[in-house]
Amino acid sequence: MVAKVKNVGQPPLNLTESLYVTELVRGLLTTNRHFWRNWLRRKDTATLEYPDRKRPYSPRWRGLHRLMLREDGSPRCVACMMCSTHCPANCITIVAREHPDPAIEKVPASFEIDLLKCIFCGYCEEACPCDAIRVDSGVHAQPVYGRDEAIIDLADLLSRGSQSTSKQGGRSL
Amino acid sequence: MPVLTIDSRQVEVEAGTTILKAAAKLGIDIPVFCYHDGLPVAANCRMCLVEVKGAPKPCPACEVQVRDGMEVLTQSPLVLEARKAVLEFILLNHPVDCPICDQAGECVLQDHYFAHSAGPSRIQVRKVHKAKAVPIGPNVMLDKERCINCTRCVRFCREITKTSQLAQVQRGNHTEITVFPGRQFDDPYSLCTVDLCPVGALTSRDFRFRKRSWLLKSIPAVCPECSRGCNVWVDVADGQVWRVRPRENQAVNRWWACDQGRLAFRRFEGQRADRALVDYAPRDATRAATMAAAATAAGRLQTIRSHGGRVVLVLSPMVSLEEGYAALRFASVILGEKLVLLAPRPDGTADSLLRTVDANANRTGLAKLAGLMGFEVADLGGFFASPAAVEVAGLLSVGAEYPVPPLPPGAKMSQAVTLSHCLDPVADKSTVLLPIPAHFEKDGHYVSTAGLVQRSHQALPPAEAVAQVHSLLSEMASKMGGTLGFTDLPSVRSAALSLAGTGEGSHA
Repeated sequence: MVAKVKNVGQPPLNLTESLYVTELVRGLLTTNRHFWRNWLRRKDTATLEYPDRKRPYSPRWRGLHRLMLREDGSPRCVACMMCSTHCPANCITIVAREHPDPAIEKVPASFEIDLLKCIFCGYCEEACPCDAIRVDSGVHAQPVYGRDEAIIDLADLLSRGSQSTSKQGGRSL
Repeated sequence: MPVLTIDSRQVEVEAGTTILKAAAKLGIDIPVFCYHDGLPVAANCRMCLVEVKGAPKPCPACEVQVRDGMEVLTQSPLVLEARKAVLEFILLNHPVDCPICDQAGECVLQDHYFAHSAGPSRIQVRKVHKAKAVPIGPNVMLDKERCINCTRCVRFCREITKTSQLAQVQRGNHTEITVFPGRQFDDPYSLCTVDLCPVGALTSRDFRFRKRSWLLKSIPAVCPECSRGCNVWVDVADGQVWRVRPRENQAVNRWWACDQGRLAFRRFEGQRADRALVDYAPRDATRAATMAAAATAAGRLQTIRSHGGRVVLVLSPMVSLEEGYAALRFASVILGEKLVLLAPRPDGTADSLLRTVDANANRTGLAKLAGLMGFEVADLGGFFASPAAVEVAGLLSVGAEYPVPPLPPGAKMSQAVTLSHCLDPVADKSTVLLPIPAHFEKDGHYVSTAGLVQRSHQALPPAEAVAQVHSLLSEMASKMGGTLGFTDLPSVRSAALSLAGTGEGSHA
């Protein structure tokens, strides 16, 4: 397909424009108009008095990841690596370890998400067979001073976790 | 010879061939669990059922032999129904814990389920649960409820290694694989059962939970642990080796490999030579620093040579033909020597299946190469015990891992330059240590004890400061005012192989 090209010319300045002063006054009038509008707190003001007022979130806003918990408070995650395999940004690093209970068998020894790489697409949540990872906490990623601080770990992910209503697989039928 | 029809296609095979093999000749794939080319037929999984015209019910293709004029259907409604039923039966008590199962991604049950059934379970009662994560031996973990009772592992231990360490006990739903009371599954080939197991019932304790199978990339290589030269797949990911599996080669190792060879890649974990050492002081972990150390070594050897001293080449029979050729060329052109000292690893334990007594990967090849290049081959230990050793002022070792013999009394030895991949006792005695790639980090040819020339491919890139033997020796040669006549690995390879008159797959 040939891309459509629209040529945008630069029209020559007319007499009033080339005089400079008239355009200066026009610009100042625009500034003044906004100044008085904001001063009188009209409803169509484009800006918000942040942080006293906050813009409402979209219902689709996901926020930071969290790891859900079993009934006894231990992580539901079994370190199957489905999320890290599906992750298009390759931001999840999991190291698995043996769990002393053979009915659980496998748990994450470490679970790290690099928030600078993460694109918050939610594929990890879709891929998870255990309802262990969710991207629904609604919590903003905090600004950080160094790249290392943008990597969230297992404890941080579990701190936002809660119990899931779904049944953990394996020992049902 | 009988002519039979499989799915309306005619094929002529030897009398006594099974339907499964006749179908394979036509490229028709019949799904199996319990059948394996290397094991006796058990025909207990019933996955390979096919329809034979005139037979009262479906027949197992792995067991039934062909007849002249036989008509076989592998895709008829009856066969598809039978496969679906077999899978439903096998999955009745299977825990379907794929997320935590190491076999996921390379599981025959997963593959067959998606290809032939893909139906939801109709079971309404509780599954029969059995013991999980049972360490039945030093290398193998057993999950009894994942087992589909194909008995491949039992037949392997009974027929191939003849240790009969595994057995099936109980019956019906409660059938399980087990070891005998008070015994361990310590067969030297126990990890072969992990490869044979079509599901995740037997898993490797070493590989357990370390990596998911779909993240691994497999590179064809040759096992260096003994002189058999078993063909292996090296599974790598994230710049490291995670496991080693046998690669089928009917002429060498068939489908098998020993546990010792598979786990050998962990031997040098934490003691790899990743930078040059000069007088035991580490240099920077950069390529330039390694080359500077090589120049230092060359200067020291040159000093010995200019004072009329003798520098002798010590060659480990673990190195490849390419490395051996480069070293021998250096010895003849630069050191003016016609003696090479072979420094083998101590003998291992042989068995009737694969393992040989000679624990060196390339002794046959290097001894032949040295002979062709006009070298006299002697043993390092024997030479050190002889009076001639007293006069040697310098040693150049290529490869290590050999026991260091004591120096003869009154020895004039002042320099020992070692090209090695590990920090072993040889490195401890070296005045200059130059890092070279470990076995799976290099591309090279090896000659097995049967004389077969085999190529082992590079599975991993070596560390930054590590340099190939031929580039280190070329650098040293140029500093010592000579040239070896090769520039890169392909030129070393073609020179070495054309001299020996061999190529990959040929007999040396």
